[in-house]
Amino acid sequence: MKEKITNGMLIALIINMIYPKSIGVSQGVMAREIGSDIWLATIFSCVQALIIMAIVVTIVKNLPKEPVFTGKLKLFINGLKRLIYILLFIFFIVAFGDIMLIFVYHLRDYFLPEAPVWVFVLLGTLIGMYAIFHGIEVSGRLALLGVIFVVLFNILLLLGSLKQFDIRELQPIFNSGVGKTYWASRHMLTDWAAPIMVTIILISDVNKIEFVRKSTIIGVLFATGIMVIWPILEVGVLSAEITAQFIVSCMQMARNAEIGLFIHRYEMIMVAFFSFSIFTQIITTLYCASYSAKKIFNLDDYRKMIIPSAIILSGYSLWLLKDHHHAMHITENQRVTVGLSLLFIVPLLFFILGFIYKWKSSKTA
Amino acid sequence: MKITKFIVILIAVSLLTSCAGKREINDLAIVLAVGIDKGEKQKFKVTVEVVRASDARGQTGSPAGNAGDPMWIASAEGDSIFEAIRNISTYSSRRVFWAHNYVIVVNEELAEKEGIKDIIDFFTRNPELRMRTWIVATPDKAGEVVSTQTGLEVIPGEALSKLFRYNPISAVSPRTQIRDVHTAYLSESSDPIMARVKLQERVVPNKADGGGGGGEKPPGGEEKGKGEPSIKQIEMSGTTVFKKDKMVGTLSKKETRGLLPFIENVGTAIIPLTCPGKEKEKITVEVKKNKVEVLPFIKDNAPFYKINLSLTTNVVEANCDFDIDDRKMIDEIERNLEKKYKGYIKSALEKGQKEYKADIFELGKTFENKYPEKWKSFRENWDEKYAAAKFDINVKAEVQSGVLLYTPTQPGSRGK
Repeated sequence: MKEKITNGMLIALIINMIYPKSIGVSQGVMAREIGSDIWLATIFSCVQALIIMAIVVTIVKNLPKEPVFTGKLKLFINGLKRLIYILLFIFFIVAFGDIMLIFVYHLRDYFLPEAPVWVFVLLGTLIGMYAIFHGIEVSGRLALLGVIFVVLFNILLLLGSLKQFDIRELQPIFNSGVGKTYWASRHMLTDWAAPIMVTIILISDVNKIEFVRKSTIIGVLFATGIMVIWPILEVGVLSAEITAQFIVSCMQMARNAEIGLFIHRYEMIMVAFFSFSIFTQIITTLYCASYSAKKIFNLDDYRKMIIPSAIILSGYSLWLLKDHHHAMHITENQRVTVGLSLLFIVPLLFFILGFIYKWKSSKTA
Repeated sequence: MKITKFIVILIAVSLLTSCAGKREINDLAIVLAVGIDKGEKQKFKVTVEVVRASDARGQTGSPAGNAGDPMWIASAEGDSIFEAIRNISTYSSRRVFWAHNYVIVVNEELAEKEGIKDIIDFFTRNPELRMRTWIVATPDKAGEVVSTQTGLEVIPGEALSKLFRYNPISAVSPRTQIRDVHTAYLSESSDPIMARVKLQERVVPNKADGGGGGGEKPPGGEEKGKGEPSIKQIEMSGTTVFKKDKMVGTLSKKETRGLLPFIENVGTAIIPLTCPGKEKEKITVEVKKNKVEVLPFIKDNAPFYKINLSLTTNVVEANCDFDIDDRKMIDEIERNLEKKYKGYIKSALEKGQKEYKADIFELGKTFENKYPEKWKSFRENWDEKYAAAKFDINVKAEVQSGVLLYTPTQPGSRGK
């Protein structure tokens, strides 16, 4: 059981943590707001994510070693640390619900409409539990495979759709205005919160921590590259109106792709590739939630928190997915509020913690 | 630890059987074509053409199985399409399965009176269906179209699909798929179109009626003229035009030629022209490439479009003496072709704009792309603005080659 991951695995994890949600459901949500400018909103969110990721990594990586606290200050510091991990745990509950939404709405709605939701949630959670029991490296390795498969997925989609691409559908650019396009990018930025929070948790597990900032920047840029193809194709092939009409717009793209005369309806192949990415998300989120729970209860091993975390995360997912309207309403509204708030609050608390550590160390010295 | 592993394996084995939502192939009625007509008692009459796989293997007319027909035709009525399909399942021994459907045929009477909103909604909402399924309109009964054996194929749905696959050769109907109709329907400016097919009596010259060299009368055949047998065949027949979801009219084959450059790449349209200086003789050109440029402008607070169409062609047949070296003759052919295509475009625009008031040329979209700010004031009353739009059509044709021949095909000089 290895508890360390390579920098390459971290890059792969960042890509996998953003890809599945951002290419379909989020594009549909944004298309309902801004129409054909979704690809611009995607780029906006990626630029913001790059900046936030660089700041967060700098804060967490440079967190000084904890000095010895006594008295009320010790209680305050312990409380602050606990609060940070409680907030992280809440974040991963919401993120897990998001991932289950993607998992269920891709597989159930398009392939197994008669299968009950709980089967998907239970299976996903069980696989996640089994994987993280063997350490975070399992997720890292799966993430590497996931990147290969999402690249293949993109190639398959390009081959099957480029012929139908009409650049006129992307025009006029900034049709809904720069401000509105920027505002719509909040949905994607909420998606970006997941890889950023995962990086906070995993940063100490990376083999070469000195290169971690470079690795995360490469991860964000690579993810941007393979992700931005989707809104461009969705608008250029399907049109903004169709992208906006469907819950999972990327499946509509996949359903639309056709290579030559004999390869059509290959969305099953594409979803098989895509599933590596989804499982990586499930495993990583479950790990991060268990790790946060370990920190909250000050335990020595996260494995003790796998089952309680899995129950809470899957319970929330089942509640979220009770019907389409409920799930989409929360995804479009409350999720954004919670996700973005925590994306700014948690790094800020880390910064305050680091500031106190530094102040205390200099005072002691 | 061993107990945990045992429990995990036990749960996995019971949950990972892949049985959830399973569908056995021998439990499915695989639909290859669906026809939607106006019902006699209820809103819709849905006719499905289901393949009998075991009987669909052999050559045309000689199925390999023993049950008979390679297809099974079933129909039922309902107030919604879904209800009609569910009513089919009251007597179908198998579950109707849509994933392999080639074509949706819509009856024009239904499209005119009830509209196609329900059809678009049903076929895009259903996850089994492909978005690249062909969709066509017909003046005949859609149920009859989907059950008519046509072309060389055993299965009518497959024949219809192939008709579209190779339709750029004839270029008389657009290649409309459910995705195109869906996109146009959702668009705020464009209106949908569908390819139009109809049943046409075709004489079968090598099959005499009632035996004697020809064998039995072909299925669905009718006697015509002097005992010549004929069968109904499905053929492309222009375009059906919609205003939002209601059918408003049709474009003929020639008018469709004027529409096609706006919406798709015309593959190899064949255009017969009069030979320069010889009214009775014909010269045929094949359009190899076409490029259309639609440039919107604003004139008197109304849209004005400059349409530039360039055609690259080959001479593929000449009744008169055609010489690729004869520049004067080529110029004249090019002018003739330009005039002809300008006429096609003009008549298509006239019908679309004046008669049907339907933006089937994506002119609103083109205008919005160039004048996004102006579009905001035009979009509310686009129908009026579109009706007032003026056009300047320029066609530039170029004859590039005479294919294999360099000099004219004319009698030898012996005896001169």
